[in-house]
Amino acid sequence: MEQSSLYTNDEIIDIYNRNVNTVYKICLMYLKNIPDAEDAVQNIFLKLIQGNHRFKNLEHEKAWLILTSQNHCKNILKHWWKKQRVDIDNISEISYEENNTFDDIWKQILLLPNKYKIVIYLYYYEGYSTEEISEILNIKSPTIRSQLSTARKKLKIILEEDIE
Amino acid sequence: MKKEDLYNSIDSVVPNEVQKSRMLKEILNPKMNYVKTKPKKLVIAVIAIFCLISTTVIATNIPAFQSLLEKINPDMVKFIKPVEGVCIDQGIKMEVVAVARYDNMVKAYITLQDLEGDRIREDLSFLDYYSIKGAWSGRWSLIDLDKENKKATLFVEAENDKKFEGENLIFKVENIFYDHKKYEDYEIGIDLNEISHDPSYINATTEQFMSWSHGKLYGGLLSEEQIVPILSPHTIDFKFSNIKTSMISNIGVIDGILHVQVWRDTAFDGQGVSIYLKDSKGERIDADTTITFMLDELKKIKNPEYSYYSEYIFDINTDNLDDYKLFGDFHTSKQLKGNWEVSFKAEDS
Repeated sequence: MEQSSLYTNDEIIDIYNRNVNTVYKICLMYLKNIPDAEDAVQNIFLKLIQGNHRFKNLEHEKAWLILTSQNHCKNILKHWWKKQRVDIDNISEISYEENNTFDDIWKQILLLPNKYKIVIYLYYYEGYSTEEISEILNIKSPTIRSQLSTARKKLKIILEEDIE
Repeated sequence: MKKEDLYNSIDSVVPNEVQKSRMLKEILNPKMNYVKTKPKKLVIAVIAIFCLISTTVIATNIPAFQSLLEKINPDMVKFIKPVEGVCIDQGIKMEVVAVARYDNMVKAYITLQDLEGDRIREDLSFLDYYSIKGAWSGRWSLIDLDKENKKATLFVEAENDKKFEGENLIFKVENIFYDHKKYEDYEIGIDLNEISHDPSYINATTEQFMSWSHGKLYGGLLSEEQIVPILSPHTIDFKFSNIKTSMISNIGVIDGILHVQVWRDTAFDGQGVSIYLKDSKGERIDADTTITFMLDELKKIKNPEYSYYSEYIFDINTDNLDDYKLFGDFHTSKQLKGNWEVSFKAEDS
């Protein structure tokens, strides 16, 4: 690759290996299909590399990627919905194999409104506190707590079981 | 739902190694303008003989259409219209249920149902034995499988280089493959100490081979006159207990070089074979040179349309064959030949 970035290939590979699972999960949560999620993952890492972003530490790097992933996916979805009609060539079907790769809990997460998915993910999977989530997403803490509460209720309702 | 269930579910969603590698490759070598790869041009279909084909445009109260609406992307519903077209062959029913057209693209939902057996499964494939006549290119994917009714729903996408204007498209399948099995690291029970160091062989030239790849052993193998010794096929026929479509048709040491020859039954397409050695440390050793060929009516080697034989030639010290064991990776499947074909018009949605 022509070196137009401050990063060497080895550095890019390191950043990628550290964060690809996180970025992929977020993109798949929003875009709901594997090919679009893969496209998004590629574009997000390219933004990092070509934008020559440098980070204070690994947590800062991860937080940047989380926020960028969310924003990138929201832009994609906004672009689709802005059209007067959805072009048929943008509509695809999820293959049987893809659809059966994921368990019921993941499928229910996909049914959540987008703003609740990321807080559920950051709180229950990444283990961030509501204050930390507030900093990452640049959203006020009370809003995060409210979204978390609503998301819990929705998941509980969908699955008819108790979240402890 | 417990927190750990939620955690475990999210944790299980990861790209596999193939996906990771693919995405990384794109990141390290980004294209200037990312363009999704167009599907390759497909083979044009031939004549239908045994099928019932009708392409009547009908009313909306078709059970098949109603059933389809529950399975598909809701965004597609407003674009599709029901159509009817049925073909039954070998106890498998193909039915076109709905079609949508938009400019130069047509999307169709087609079902395949096994009326007699259990051949429609999630590992359904057609390899290259399908086509979409009337379109520049196309592809299909399995989007639903009703295991109880043995019915698969396919999503077929066809593209043209210009806007469709009501052309008749034909989706045709000539072979259905199912029950795919992989046998990896399969130890072939041949004692390499017992093989012949004076086997029967034929001297052949590269122009007689269908294909060949070579390494150090035949580094200078560029000329069509270059002679390569090939084991005489079927001098021994070592068969595998689980794999009926391949066998070791000969094995031996020619001029100090180990040759292993595999026969593959080309009546069963979609079979894959790869032969290799493992040394005393368990390290895999692939063939230095691989040659594929066929025999003519006079049992002479000739350049065929399909390869029946593959000869694996190994660059190892044949004085110490007890240091090595013979292994193979095999892929087999069942195959159903038939003639399934449905047509539909690329009309406005």
